[in-house]
Amino acid sequence: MFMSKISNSFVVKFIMRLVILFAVAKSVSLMILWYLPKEGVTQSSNKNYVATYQKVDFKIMLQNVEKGNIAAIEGAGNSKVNKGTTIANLMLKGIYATQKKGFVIVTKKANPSQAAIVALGERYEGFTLSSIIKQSAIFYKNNEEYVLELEAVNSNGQRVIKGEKNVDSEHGDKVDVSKEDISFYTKNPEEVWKEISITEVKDGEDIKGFEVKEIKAGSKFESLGLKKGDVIVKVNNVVLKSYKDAIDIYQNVGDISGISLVVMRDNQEVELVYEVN
Amino acid sequence: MKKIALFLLNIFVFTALMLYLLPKENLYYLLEQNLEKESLVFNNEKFKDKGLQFEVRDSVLFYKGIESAEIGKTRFDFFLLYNAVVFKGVKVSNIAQNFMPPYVNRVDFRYTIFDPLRIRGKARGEFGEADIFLHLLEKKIRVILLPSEIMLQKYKNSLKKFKKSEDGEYVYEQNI
Repeated sequence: MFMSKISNSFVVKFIMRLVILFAVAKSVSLMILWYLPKEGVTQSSNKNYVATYQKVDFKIMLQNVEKGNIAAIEGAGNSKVNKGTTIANLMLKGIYATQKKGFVIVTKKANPSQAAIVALGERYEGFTLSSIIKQSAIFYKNNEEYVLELEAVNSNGQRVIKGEKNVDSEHGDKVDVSKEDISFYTKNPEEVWKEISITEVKDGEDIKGFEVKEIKAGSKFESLGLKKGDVIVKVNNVVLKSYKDAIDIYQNVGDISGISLVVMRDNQEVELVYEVN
Repeated sequence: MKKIALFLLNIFVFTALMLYLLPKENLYYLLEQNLEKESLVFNNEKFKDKGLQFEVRDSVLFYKGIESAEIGKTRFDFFLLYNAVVFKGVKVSNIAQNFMPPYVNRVDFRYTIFDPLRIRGKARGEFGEADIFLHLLEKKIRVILLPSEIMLQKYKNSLKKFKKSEDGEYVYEQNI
């Protein structure tokens, strides 16, 4: 009798109804959960990546390939230098390396036009290439280690690209750009747009470069060799396919010691090379 | 009459429970997947489910792969008849600072069933104040901007896409 009274009471009915509604709602939410994604979307960013300019003298390299002058050249004229120092009469002209393989391009200072390609494990002038690191190659000879650096380092710790004549560039040589100018324009981006106007060039949905629409006469940008109508397609070997590509370079431009622009001008590729001092 | 009232009460309670129990974090992931199609990605979020509200803290917004803004707090309100998304403490990235001042105090978008064809938004920050209208049927966005002095002095270029009205407002319209 007492139990029957309780089960018929309004409060119990209300609580029972709430429990049922809760159970149904929970079941529905679990069913919804089943169909929903379990992970979100994450944007990967490579903030530390800096697209540096690496000049490889392919013209010389190809001349030597034609002559069959490839690596493993042993013979006289080896220079012995102290352990851990740069090999005195050899120059490192270029580096290609992945985690497992790689090669370097070396020349003798006495005869820089005679370049050779040396793969890991191969010998050149008695030196065996044992490993390639960021800016240098390590050779072994007579159980001693020798380091050949790609670029010299000046007293300020700034990297310096050796001043070779750039046969492909508009001016036939590199153009100097001061760090002060770069610093000024990165801190005052509005000043950039007062001197130059750039817009994307699209092929359907894809960006294929950035066109110089306007350039102020007598401006810094004009002195860099850019012209109205140029389409910038590559910077430091990075193909510009999105705003992100361009902005990644813009954000790191202060850390770059050499800049190479490839522009399409009158349907021809023109390379503009700048050295940052 | 009593039965109808009871039925409506049941519906109301069930809806409230549903809104409370919804897997909001996973719904947010679904939203992220849809936003990714528009090249919008949020990173580094920390979530807090508060029942009828869902908070996302310290997110970083990327647009087309470019870091565009840091958002201190994003709040989603689910009240069925009235829903809102509120962004607070927005700092635009260095790149975006080329186009506008860095700090946006608050941006909110509100949708109510009583105005079903329109999402209304309001933004306030160093750039000034803006009213945003998203017309769902016409697929059109309309922004009415009242720019601040900083905006008028330093970011004139950004205002070029706006049409200036006689009362000093700047109006931007775009089909979406």
